[in-house]
Amino acid sequence: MTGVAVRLEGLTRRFGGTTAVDGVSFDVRPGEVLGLLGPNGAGKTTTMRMLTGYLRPTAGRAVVGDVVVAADPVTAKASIGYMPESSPLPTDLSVFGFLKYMARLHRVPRAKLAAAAGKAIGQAGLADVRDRRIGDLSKGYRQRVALAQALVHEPAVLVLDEPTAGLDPRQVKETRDLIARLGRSRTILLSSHLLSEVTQLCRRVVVLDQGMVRAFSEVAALTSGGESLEEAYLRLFR
Amino acid sequence: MRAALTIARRDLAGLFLTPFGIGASAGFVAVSGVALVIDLRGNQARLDGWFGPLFFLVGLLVALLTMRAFADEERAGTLELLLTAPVRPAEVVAGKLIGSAASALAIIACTAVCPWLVTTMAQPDGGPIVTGYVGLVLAVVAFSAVGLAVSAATGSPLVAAAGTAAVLLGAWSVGLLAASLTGLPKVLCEQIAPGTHVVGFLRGTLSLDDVVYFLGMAAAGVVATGLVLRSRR
Repeated sequence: MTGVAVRLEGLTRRFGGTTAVDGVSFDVRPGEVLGLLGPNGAGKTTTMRMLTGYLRPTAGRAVVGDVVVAADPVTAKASIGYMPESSPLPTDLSVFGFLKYMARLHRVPRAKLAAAAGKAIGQAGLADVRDRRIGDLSKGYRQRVALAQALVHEPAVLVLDEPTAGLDPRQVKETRDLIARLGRSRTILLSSHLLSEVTQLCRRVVVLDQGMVRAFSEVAALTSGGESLEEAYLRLFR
Repeated sequence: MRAALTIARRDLAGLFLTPFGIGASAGFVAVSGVALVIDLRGNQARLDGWFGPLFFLVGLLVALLTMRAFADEERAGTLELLLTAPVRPAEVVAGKLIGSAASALAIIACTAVCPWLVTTMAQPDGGPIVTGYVGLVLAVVAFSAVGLAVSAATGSPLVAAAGTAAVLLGAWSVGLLAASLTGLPKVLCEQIAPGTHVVGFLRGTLSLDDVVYFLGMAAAGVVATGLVLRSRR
């Protein structure tokens, strides 16, 4: 692996005549939690979808480790754990059954499936609801299941799209603590609207606006004038 | 291949855990029972009059089953989880085809009680029963592949089901159109229509032409599904 864990180079995506992401470039260092900020429609989710191989870029490239995602998506995807926005999950499966299914899809060896699912359940604090149907779980637990499925194959890189959206304050703190713990051993790209969360978890942030990088900087540099990150963020969009 | 089987197993099990799957199964078996009663009103121990409508009904069943494969997953958002897993597109398509076809075949297997009932009362010719089921297996695979292509093209399960039903009904209708044509157009329409290729199975014969027709339709559906998935991403 090179000095960066994730690198986006001029990543662009057009949908018909609309350019959703326009020449986005930044990198994420190994073991870093990088914040991805921006207003709704800024292109955060589209950027993450191209990084995870769900969408193909119109131009530019995403590189995970040394692997270009569009050139070798299977290898790249194997090293990424992705928690999509709004945590879409199958409601008919149990938590344990779903995690085993995701582990199988992520090519975890058959003999290690149960252990992998069990470990992700432990990491995400799902032991109480291990055998419950996902459809019967609260929003908070579903968020945790979505996070657990991103962890089940122990990826080197986590891509988390608004992981605390819709959670109550206690659940937000628990999820944030979990991300902080995960960030000690993994590279994380974190999209969030909660600037306090980004301040706590991230040393550097990328700010997107209308599909372009508005700022890519250390949080400390953005707030060097004694501003909070919220004030600095609002200043960028004035 | 392991990933394809994982996807297929999930889809197969998922169907029969839902009221939709149980309802679709019960509905299909019930309608096949009604078709048997109507067929036996002729007081003849032959089942070609029962298998014929079954081929048509299988198209409608497959339209309902394949709408779940991609369109329903896209609506629910879970397609994103599947397509960001380290699974090759060919494995996704193969898994969805195996899952959809296996679901339909599991339901069709329940209709075996109909020929069995007839054999308890009379001695029907076994040949058409065997070839009838062979034909149904081929039709299920072919129709499922077509349904997957339609399902992959939309995020609306209802549009997927209606679209698949429309495509398959359209194909059957081409056969009706052939009756009013002559020459090459007539031959072409007859060759395109599934109805033409079902007749042999109903009579108890296995023709290479008919087998190739359904396998060709399956191959075309698989390729179309892959292309649609690629173009939409």
